[in-house]
Amino acid sequence: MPNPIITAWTAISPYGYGRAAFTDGVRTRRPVAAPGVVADFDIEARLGRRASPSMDRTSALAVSTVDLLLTEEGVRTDERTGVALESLAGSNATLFEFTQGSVIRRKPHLVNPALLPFSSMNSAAAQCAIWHGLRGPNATLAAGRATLPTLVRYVTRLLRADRASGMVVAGVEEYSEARALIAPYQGAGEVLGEGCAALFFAPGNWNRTGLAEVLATRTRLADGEPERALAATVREAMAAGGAEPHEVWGIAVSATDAAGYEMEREAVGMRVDRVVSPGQLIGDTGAAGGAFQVAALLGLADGMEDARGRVVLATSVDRTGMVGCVVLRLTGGSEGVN
Amino acid sequence: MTRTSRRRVAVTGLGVVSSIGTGPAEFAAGLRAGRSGARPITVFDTTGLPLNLGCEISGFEPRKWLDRLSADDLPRVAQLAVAAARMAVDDAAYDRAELAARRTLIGVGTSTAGTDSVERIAERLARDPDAGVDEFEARWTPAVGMSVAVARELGLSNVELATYATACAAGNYTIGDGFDAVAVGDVDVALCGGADGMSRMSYIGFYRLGAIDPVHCRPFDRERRGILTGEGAGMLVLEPLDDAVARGARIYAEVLGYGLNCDAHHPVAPHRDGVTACLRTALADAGVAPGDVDLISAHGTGTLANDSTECAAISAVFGDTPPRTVSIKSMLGHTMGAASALSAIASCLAITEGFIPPTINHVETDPDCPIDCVPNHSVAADLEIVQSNAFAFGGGNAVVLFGKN
Amino acid sequence: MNAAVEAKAAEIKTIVCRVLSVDPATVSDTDLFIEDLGADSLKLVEVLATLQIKLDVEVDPADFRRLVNLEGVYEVLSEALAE
Repeated sequence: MPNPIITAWTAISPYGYGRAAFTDGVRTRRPVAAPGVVADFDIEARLGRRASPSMDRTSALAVSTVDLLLTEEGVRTDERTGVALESLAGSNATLFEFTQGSVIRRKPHLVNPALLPFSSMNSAAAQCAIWHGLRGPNATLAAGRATLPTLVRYVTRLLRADRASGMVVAGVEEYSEARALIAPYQGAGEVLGEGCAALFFAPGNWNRTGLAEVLATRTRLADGEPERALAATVREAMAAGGAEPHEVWGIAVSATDAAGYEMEREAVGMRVDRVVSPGQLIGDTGAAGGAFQVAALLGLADGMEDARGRVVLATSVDRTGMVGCVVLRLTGGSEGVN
Repeated sequence: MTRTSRRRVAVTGLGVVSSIGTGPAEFAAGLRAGRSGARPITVFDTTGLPLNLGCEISGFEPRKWLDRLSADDLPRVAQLAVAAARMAVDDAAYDRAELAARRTLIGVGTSTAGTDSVERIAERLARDPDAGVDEFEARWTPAVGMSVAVARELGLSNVELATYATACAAGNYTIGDGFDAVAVGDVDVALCGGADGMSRMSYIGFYRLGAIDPVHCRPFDRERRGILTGEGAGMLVLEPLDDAVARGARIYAEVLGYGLNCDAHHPVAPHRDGVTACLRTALADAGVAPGDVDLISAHGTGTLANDSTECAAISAVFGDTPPRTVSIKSMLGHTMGAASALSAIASCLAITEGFIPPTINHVETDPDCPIDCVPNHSVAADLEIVQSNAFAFGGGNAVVLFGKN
Repeated sequence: MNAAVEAKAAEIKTIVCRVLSVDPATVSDTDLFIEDLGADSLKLVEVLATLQIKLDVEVDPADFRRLVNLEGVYEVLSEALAE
């Protein structure tokens, strides 16, 4: 069965707007103030009057990032282009505003109903479709920190079954006071971040080189300690993808602290020089973490001759015990060509 | 992957927790009888709200369905999901050791699992800023928790797993993905469906949108005014048809195919062209001609917008003689993420038991809804192919087709 | 409109135009929301809800259908704020 190809990516993050800004930040490991917020992100300024005043920040970040994907990265879409997003629990801030309005006002129903669709977990995906006219399958999956391999698997199936001509795949998370209140109990990292990373997945018969080929994804629910389950998952994924340890050029981990970083690195088991940890660079970006892992790998590999043809891994460990691994082969195509 | 190269997929187990019955037998009986699940809401405070009718589940005993996990450790929506999953696996007579040895997809669709916990945290803080964050609720804010609970209760490790947060169409999304995963051989068995509990803010939001009927839910009726909110869980076991036959499993129906698309039009209102396109895509994927469909289990929420838009799409695809088209939301209310799972289960039961569930509360069909909605009383029917529709807030559409085996 | 609403007229217009995504400078008091400014029923609900929240005033749902343009909004709010 043909493997999907990642043909383009971009990001909006504490490192700034667009692919170059993110790549630069990751390469230089530039420290970011805590919490890692996206500077100067005002929804109305960014999206204009067309944006509803009720639009949540999460949806706005996603819409803006997909805009960059289509304009700056030149991704072309048609009537069968779809959208698939990761979510943890939607926009906490909007849900807080909606709920608390019902408590503090004179009557419980004196709320702004436009907040209802924006407080739904599928809001960002729906808004991306509405703003950019994307009429293919529209999905939002939640699998905690293991959402990346789950999402990639899901999109792979859709493309192989020819249910879409291509898929915009993204992870997005906002920073807000509401999230800051809840995050410590979700097992989040000490430093929170926000942003969106968006990628474009084309079907295997895409006629240009692309940036990376999806070789395999695997997930598992750990019975006890996640390290052993992750190690087994990585081995399985490598075997399924036909990849050898010596081919691995770099890995991206999902960890947001040193202990988690060590654990994932140990579990991978291979000696790899290049290990990037976006969660420790720009903060814990919740539902966007997985997408940022792939963005970081592609950013690091961009223009590097020794990376062409080699393999990169993204590992995932979620507090619930879900673990996962995505194996990609860098195909060395040029950025921004679709 | 073409339609001919994919494995055929059977539905071999059903699990249901609903306001009209628990378990497939009771649920089928409730559907046949045209039972209404509507009653005054008790699970959240309705003081000060102008209306208070909903479709709550009564008499649910989570402990009955949990061996490994403790009910006290799970929020209601997870209890519902786990109970339905457990029921479905038992109903499929799938050997547990076998199940644990195989690769399984677990997909639970939802609208509010996770966000309902955020809602309760926000509410408590608004009422008493010194109360602090409710830690139990905070731990359950990641929506994945519910699906993990299903895996833990069943003792499964070799899993692909996710909570599909695709609002009112979520159940069909999981069934579609489960179908693809089994058909292509990514997994040997898929446990798919959806669950949602009663959400106060969903209720208030829909009320504020003018989308709640003050009397009862009456899809396709001239006087319809909207939904009643409801809760429930439905889970289905999907496996390769050949495997099901080989192990002598009872086969409820075959999943013939499905279609997915997005209106990309409006955050709330459905779009006729988008819905029409999804119906066509689903039929094409299933290799079914419109004239072969015997029954449509509609999205049929009971709002003015949905029912007329859905019927316009049905007319566009099926012409002047569409199949009978019913809405079980007339009985169950709108169970959000569980809705299309319950509709799928109803479709399978309709095929197996040879009946069409009615659209209850029906007085006069709206001329804008030119279909036979089988009003008020179920009828016996030999059904070969049933289509189940789901159209979500945000414009995501998912339609699945089931066939008699 | 009464004095209470007149004092807030500019704020009301800003709110309405923001929700309807139109430039206040181009909108007259009689431009119809649906026919002239492209609003749909959800937008009107949002207009009403936002006004009620920002001005802390409750409006009878029966008056909803009078919100056809800014003039209608000023009238309905005048009645609501006079109570």
